[in-house]
Amino acid sequence: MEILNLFGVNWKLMLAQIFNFAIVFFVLWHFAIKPLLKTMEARNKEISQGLDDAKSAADRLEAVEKDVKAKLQEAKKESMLILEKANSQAELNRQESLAKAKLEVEQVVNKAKLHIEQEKEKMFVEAKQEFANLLQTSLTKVLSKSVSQEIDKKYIHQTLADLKKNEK
Amino acid sequence: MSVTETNPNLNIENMEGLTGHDTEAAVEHEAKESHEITLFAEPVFHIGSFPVTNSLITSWVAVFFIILLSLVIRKKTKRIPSAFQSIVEIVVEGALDMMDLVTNDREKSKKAFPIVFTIFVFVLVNNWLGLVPGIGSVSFDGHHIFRGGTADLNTTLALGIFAVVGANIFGVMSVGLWEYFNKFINIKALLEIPKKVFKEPTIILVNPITFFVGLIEIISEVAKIASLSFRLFGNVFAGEVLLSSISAMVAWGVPLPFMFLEVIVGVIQALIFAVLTLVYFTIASTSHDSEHAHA
Repeated sequence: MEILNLFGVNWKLMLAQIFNFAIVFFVLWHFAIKPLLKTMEARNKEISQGLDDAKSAADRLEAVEKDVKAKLQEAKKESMLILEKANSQAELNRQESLAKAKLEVEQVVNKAKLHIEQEKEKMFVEAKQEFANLLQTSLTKVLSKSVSQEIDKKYIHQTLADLKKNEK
Repeated sequence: MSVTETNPNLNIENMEGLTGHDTEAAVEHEAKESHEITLFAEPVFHIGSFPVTNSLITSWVAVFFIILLSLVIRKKTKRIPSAFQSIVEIVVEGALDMMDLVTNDREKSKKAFPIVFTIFVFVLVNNWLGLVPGIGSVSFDGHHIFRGGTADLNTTLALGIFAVVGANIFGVMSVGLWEYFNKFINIKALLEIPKKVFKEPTIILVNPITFFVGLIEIISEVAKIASLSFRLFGNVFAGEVLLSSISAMVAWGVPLPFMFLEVIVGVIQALIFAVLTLVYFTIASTSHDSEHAHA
């Protein structure tokens, strides 16, 4: 123990130094290291979380881009199909309309022709009648004294026959 | 009397036949007379029978400084670090990485970190405080008021005891009380003899040796305390003596390189103390069986 005395070893002083160290240990751990480690850990967690999120976001973006591309292609295909269908439908409609119009025109033309024919017929009858009357009157006036009733009728019929011939 | 003339052996001769308080008084008288560096810390005043030594006062200053530093760190700790916080974080992260080299296990490093890092900081601050101009020269009533905290064996012994006891507690917590107890008093080895003697006859020779090796481990624990405390004390005290001697010879300029040397020695000694403590912690937390398995 002589050597301990030489170095001034004193259990009270040792205890005081242990107490000093214990204070340092408590304060340094409680006030500095613990909160610092906690903050560092939280930050590291946040960083790795952020990196994971960024990776998953990039993955998702890639998937979405792929999806969009696929959908666009599909939409393009569909639109082409629709366009084709529309074109053919339009063509069909056009043909139909054309046929219908043609038919209608034909009908109108036919109707008009018929009407004209009828009108013509009517006019001809009327004109014939008118002409016969006129002729009869003129002949009566001209030939009232020399031409008999029979000759008169014969002339009328002759004239009508000529008229018919001319008409043809 | 110059520093180089201070002879510790002379103190022993003077103190022969004295014990307890007489020795302390004689030591104090010797210190008062010499005004030079003594092997022991000088009592500056007494509180009752408790001697307040100059190294204890310096230790209080160190404690105050570390408390202040801790509070600053606490206040400055933010999620987005400032320059100061970044430096502290680099130190902490570097310390943890260095500890991983010894423990090979981040979890173990994290468990031992508070004690090992505190030891490092406490020793470092005390070592460096001993170098602050005025620490070894300001005196009152014939006593030096300050002396490097670690230039007192009481401080280094206290730290050594704390480290070794801490390592043993850590060992018990890590491998269990029975396992850890068998590291020193290897009852398991003795109990194995009758069980395995027919299978392995050599066990009758090996296991008693293992038992005695366990007993030697107890002595090695005491040796750890001695080696830790005397190494640190020796280096720091030698540094102070060196600086005083050089200053006594040439006061201007010449002590400067030695001052820088002591600054480095302060870091190295703190590092050695902390790393050795970590090694003791790691050894204590490794089970005895796995040690043998590795061997």
